[in-house]
Amino acid sequence: MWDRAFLNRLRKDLPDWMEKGWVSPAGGAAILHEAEYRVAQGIHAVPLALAAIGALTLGAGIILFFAANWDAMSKLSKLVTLFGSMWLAYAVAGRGLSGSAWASRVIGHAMLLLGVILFGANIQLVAQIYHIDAHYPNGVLMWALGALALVWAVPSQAVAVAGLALASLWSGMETMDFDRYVHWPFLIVWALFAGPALYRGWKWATLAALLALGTWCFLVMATWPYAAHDQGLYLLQIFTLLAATIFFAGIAMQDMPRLSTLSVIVQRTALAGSLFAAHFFIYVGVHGLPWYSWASRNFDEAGWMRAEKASGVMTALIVLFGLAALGLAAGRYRRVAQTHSRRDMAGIILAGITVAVMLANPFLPGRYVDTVLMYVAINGTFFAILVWMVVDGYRSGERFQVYSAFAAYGACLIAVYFMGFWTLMTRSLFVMAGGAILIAGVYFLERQRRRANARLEEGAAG
Amino acid sequence: MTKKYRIPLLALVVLLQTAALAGMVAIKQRTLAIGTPILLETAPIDPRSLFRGDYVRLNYEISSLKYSEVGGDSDFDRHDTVFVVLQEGEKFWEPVSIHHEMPPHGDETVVIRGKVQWTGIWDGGEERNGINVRYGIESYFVPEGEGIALERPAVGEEISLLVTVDPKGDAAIKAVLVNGEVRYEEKLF
Repeated sequence: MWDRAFLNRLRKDLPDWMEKGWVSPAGGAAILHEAEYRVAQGIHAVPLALAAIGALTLGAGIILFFAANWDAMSKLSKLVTLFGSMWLAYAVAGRGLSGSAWASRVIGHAMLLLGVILFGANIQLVAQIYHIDAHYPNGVLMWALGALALVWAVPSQAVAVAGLALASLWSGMETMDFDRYVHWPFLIVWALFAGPALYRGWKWATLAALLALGTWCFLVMATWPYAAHDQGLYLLQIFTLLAATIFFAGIAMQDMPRLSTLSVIVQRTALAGSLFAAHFFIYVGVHGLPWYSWASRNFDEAGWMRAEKASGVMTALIVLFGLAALGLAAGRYRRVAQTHSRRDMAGIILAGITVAVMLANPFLPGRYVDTVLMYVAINGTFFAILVWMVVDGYRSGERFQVYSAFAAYGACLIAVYFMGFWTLMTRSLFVMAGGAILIAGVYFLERQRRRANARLEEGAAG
Repeated sequence: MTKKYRIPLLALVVLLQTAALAGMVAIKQRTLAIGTPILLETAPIDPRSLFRGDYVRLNYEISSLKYSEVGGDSDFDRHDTVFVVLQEGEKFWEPVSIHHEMPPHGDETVVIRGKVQWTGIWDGGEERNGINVRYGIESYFVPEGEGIALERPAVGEEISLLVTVDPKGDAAIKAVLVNGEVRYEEKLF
């Protein structure tokens, strides 16, 4: 929000508002001062980013330099070079961080990042010098733990982001190369990175933590064993509810002084994650199967029977995240009921209904009628949420929400197009009917809006 | 955390990172220094190192072990730790038995520790009961451009590896031999 365009707009509008008496001269000056301060704070991100890129480039250059002359060096001189370069980077980092000037601290953080890069390079090169052929994800884990120790000892957002990327790489290697379908140890390392990121209000590190968690969920989904694909469908339901829980937690963070700055980034990332998981849950599923395991193209009972009930663990996780999401949504509803718009409340209630429907799913016996009703309910609420997101995003100026809704809707259309049990004609009729209903809905809403506006104007004139 | 503790904590982390790296060095140096040297028959295959230079991917005769040809345990799963008892043969050291735990053994044998990579061995298109094992000595880095010579030895050339195995069963490569002559040798420093 605190960008130059906003500041320029304030500079243009404030004199007019002051002249009309809406804002006092002292208040106007204070607003302008605050905005200029926030914009100046934001600009600091550019040198920090450039310093980080510089550190990365310098690190890569050093590694390449020694790689080019590696064969000519003795084992001892190689070790001295490796350890010495890392110590030097950390020494410069320590010097920079102990300085009080802003530029000194930026260089300190960049050198910390370089130190972490060199630590990782040293792990690889020591392994190479001694021909160590171990379980290679452990090398990446060791690297990530080195970054983690730094994050806790010397708070550094850049190192936290790098560490989270390394943790994801480690988990990816374990999952993809060593068949660890659900790599639980990742969550411990992830939590140890996410804690400082939230506590210190680091936006980039929080975003990296959420993306790392999303990547882990995706890896679990992508490598889920074929033999257990029916349970995999409940897995997608868990991910959808987990992301919904994080989304509502993001909303709740607005009221927490320490976490309020992270609220928007948590909400947006979780929203995108929830829509992504919901899309897979409804339309794609695991290994190409949607959430109910249809066996034929016909709408018969056999085809729409769910093959397997959710296991105890799956049900427990669905209940846990479902209730957590509902609890957070209800808490928000209670807090905003007196002060916020009906649109706000409608969104919360709609999300609550969707969560409740998903919560009920694993407890149904999976008969034909249950499955069809559940399918209609989930699709209906999902579609209603997308419409609400567009309306709310348009009214509140939250462009990310509008884009996300349209992207999700587009993905739904593509999924419907590729669904096997539709003929081209039924697909065509479905899409045309959907479009017609949407246009009729827009016409109805627009007419309501005009009537409401007219009543307001009459009231003002009277 | 106050700024006062920042530098001491940074120093502590640097110390920990250095200790971790030094630990990697020390473990291998120890194996090289105190291990029993054994000669292993190999069949190298070669990709290139992602990081730098060349490395030779090594496959040993003792990498594929058939239950019918060795004694000991025969119920291994993927990722299990395996202890392989080796005895000096006519020219190379050969497997005698495989175990889940470190077995008691005499001076004339050596026990090397590995991890089961997969179970079941394809032998002439036929799957037979057995395990494929990695011992952590399957990579050997050589100066850039020289990997190909080990990857594709000339007709009549025989590549073998001199490996040291410490009392815990950990192994380290001591030397690469071509036709019994040392081509590359690992020194302590």
